[in-house]
Amino acid sequence: MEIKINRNTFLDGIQKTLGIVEKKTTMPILNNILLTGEVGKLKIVATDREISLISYYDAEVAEKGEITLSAKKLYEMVREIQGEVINFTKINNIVKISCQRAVYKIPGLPADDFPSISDDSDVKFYNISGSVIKDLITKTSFAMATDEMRKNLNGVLLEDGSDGNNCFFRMVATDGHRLALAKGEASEIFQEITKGVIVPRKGLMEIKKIIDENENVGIGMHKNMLILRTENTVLKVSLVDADYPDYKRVIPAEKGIGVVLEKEPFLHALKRMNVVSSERYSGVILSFSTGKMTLNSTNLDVGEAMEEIDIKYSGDDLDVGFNVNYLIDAISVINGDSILFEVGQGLKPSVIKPADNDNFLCIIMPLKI
Amino acid sequence: MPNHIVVLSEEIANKIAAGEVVERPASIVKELVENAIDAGAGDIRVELEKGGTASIAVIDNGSGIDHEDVAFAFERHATSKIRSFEDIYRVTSLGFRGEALPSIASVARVELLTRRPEDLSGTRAVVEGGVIKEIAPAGCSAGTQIRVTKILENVPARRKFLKTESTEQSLCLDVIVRLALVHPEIRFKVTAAGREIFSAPEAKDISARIAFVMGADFSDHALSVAADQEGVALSGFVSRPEFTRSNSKSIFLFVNKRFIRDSGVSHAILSAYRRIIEPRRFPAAVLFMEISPGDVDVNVHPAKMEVRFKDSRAVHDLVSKTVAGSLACRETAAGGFVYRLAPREGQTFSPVFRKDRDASADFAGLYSRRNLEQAISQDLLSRSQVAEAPVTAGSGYGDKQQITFNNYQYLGQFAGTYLIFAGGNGFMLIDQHAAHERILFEKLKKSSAEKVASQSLLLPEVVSLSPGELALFSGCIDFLQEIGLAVEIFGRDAVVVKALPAILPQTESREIISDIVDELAEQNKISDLKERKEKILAALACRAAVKANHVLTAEEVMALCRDLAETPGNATCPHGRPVIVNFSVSEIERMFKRK
Repeated sequence: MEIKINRNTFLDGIQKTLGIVEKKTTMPILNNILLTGEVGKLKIVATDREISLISYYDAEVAEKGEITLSAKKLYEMVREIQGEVINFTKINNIVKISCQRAVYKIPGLPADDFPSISDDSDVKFYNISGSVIKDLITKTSFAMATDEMRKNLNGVLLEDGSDGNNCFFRMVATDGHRLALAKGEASEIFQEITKGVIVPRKGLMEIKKIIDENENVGIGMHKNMLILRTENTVLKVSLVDADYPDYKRVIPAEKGIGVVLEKEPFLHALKRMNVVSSERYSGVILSFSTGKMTLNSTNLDVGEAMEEIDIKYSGDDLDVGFNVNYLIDAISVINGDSILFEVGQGLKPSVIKPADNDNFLCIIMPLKI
Repeated sequence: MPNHIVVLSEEIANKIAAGEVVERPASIVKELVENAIDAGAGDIRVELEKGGTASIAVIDNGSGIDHEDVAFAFERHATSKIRSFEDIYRVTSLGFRGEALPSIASVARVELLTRRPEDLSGTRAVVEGGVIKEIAPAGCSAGTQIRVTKILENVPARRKFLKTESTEQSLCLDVIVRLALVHPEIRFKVTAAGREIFSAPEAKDISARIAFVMGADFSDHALSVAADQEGVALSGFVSRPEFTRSNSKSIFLFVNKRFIRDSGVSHAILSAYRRIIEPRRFPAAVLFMEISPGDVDVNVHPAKMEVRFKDSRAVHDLVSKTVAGSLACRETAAGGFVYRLAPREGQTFSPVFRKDRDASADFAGLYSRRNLEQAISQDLLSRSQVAEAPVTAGSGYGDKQQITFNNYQYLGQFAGTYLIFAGGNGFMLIDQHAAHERILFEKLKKSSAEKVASQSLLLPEVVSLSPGELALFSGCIDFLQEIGLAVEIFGRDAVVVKALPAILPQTESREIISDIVDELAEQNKISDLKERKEKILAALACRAAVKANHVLTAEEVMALCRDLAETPGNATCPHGRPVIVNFSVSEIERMFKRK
């Protein structure tokens, strides 16, 4: 095995695998990445058996071959190398990495021991733009549950939401206190996920990291895996085998009192409230009255914050409490200048969405203060 | 000189003997229901008033008692079940000592109505204080109805020791649940104050009954157990490692269809789970042991809760191996993965250090001075080897910020559990879980006295409980509401959680509820409302507090120190374990033999 490869390309390629390779494992080979020299290409494979990344990089391959090396050590070595082109040669199971006058020798494990990655030759791929996927993830991932016990909520629901006229993907996340739902354009109906699949947290974060906004992505299902394919990369994510709660049941049938708010002033006011609210729970009371909204946050240990915002409101006076972080999370991800806040009365849920479209909504349960 | 030694009257002797059998309403329920089962009943109804402290009625459709025999039934050591002493080694019926009815009758008023199916008329008998008041023919349906009132009225000392009605009721239900588990062919129905609180229809087999009685949570997480070896047959179900309880009350052990407690067998079960579940958590299990009556002595105690095995070592090994075997071959696919104990991400202890941490896990929870000394010395030993890496992996440590507590300076975190502080007089360890538990507990206590914030749930969560647990639970719903936990009774065997206290971070409702129930069930004496509230708060605080083996960032340590300094009673956690352990310089010098 003998390869010449651009240093920056190589470093970039290894870096992408660092999030996937296991840090602690009883199978040391999972700390490694598989490097394969093919015609004109270097193929790098990383897996933790739940998520697999296969990527191809341009390289001059003088002699084909394959080896596995510790991802972390290899990354540290290449990072410290100065120069443009790296020579990579394997003799038995020892790899020599040299550049200019610096030479590293690193022992590897044979490629045969590396877990095989399932084949995807007969998978049907659907086109979606990288920016749509990243947008869906940004708009929902904050609402995932953090506790590891609830596996089904510790990820997002991805489903095909196409109706008669339009094709789109829907992504949903909830932690039981709030629920975020986002829609993104698709080119055709993704048959395999009309019932929805659950993408686990780690897989979701890898997708966000590895997919580039300007790329066109092919997305497909193979057995219990979601596969994303770009020109040089294939990412396979094992899905969570569990039932997702029926989120449609949670979306309030009757609309709350609709208030249109300017995004930035509201967001900043909330952040000011957050300063005084306590670390463990962060309550803010929103009081609506004719022509204005008053925000109030009180913490016995710290003090009190209060702020008024002029709004268009003419209904009855109304007080609702919320976890201020839930409001901040939901409002931050909205693109555009104005938001529609549908305030639920009593202990009914409230809904936050962009004022001018239906591509996102976040349902938030009130805090009874 | 008066005689110092006198022969006790029969009445007093009976009362004393009754003390062994009739301790509380639950023991009466147990004796009567067992009699009904021995009488071959297919349908047993139990009616309780005031948790069984006012009246208990057991109605069965069993074989009934012959008119001639009724009077005998109330005589001590009158039994239909054995004839000679040797018979007790062959007994297969639940009772045999002939003590139950007379004992009950000596401390209460018993009204008996019975008719054998083949007889035309039945018999009515009333016995009070051990004296037969009335025996007369009477019309009644086939079977036996026994109504016990004036319970323990003539034994005020014992009556005084009864707990609250809801506790007694839950103990009565426990007894019935245990019997219901082994008798799927019998229909059980329990009513309290006219309201049905437990009902188990005939089940087609024992596993159907177990699923019904133990609830969906258990049956979803159950693994079957089976073994047959050297005359001992073991069968039943144990919970998967991710389903744990905070006490051992959900471990049911039956020997020859009789519920027993045996520390040896319990130990065998727990040892199979050791290292698989967190320390101080317990599995749930329903295990049936069939063993030849000759190899087990059930006549150890009148309540027959204890037995003696001829070869207890062999029984222990069999249970331990079988349970461990089932746990080992569980399918991991269906969520049976032990993710609770998985080490946290992002820990960057050096390998040397981590090895020591594993060793120290052995004495997590044990606070003897010697263990701590060991832990400390191991820590110090390994410290020199990892000198290039800071002890703490927490981001941000190494900033200019200095974290102090009581003028002691924060050095780092040890074993992901203990925070190390050093000062002029020595150093101290703070158990992060215990410290946080105390902080939350005090905060919860404060908030229960004032207004409280409560986060409503988008998806209300249904938690299934056993009837006994539900009875305990229903008494404190109002208080839970006060602290922001909105819970409603949902049918006969479940509650639905609609809102959680905002002060608790995202915790799973199911675990909170089961911890509260366990905490309530553990009460040893009559507890007043205040004590019960504190128990609930302690359970909530424990569940919500940061766990052991969790790396804290510098900011988190700082917040913890600040809160701890402001918290009253910060020397111990709400369960009484220490929060802080101090090592003075002179102690350390002694360890190094400098003094």
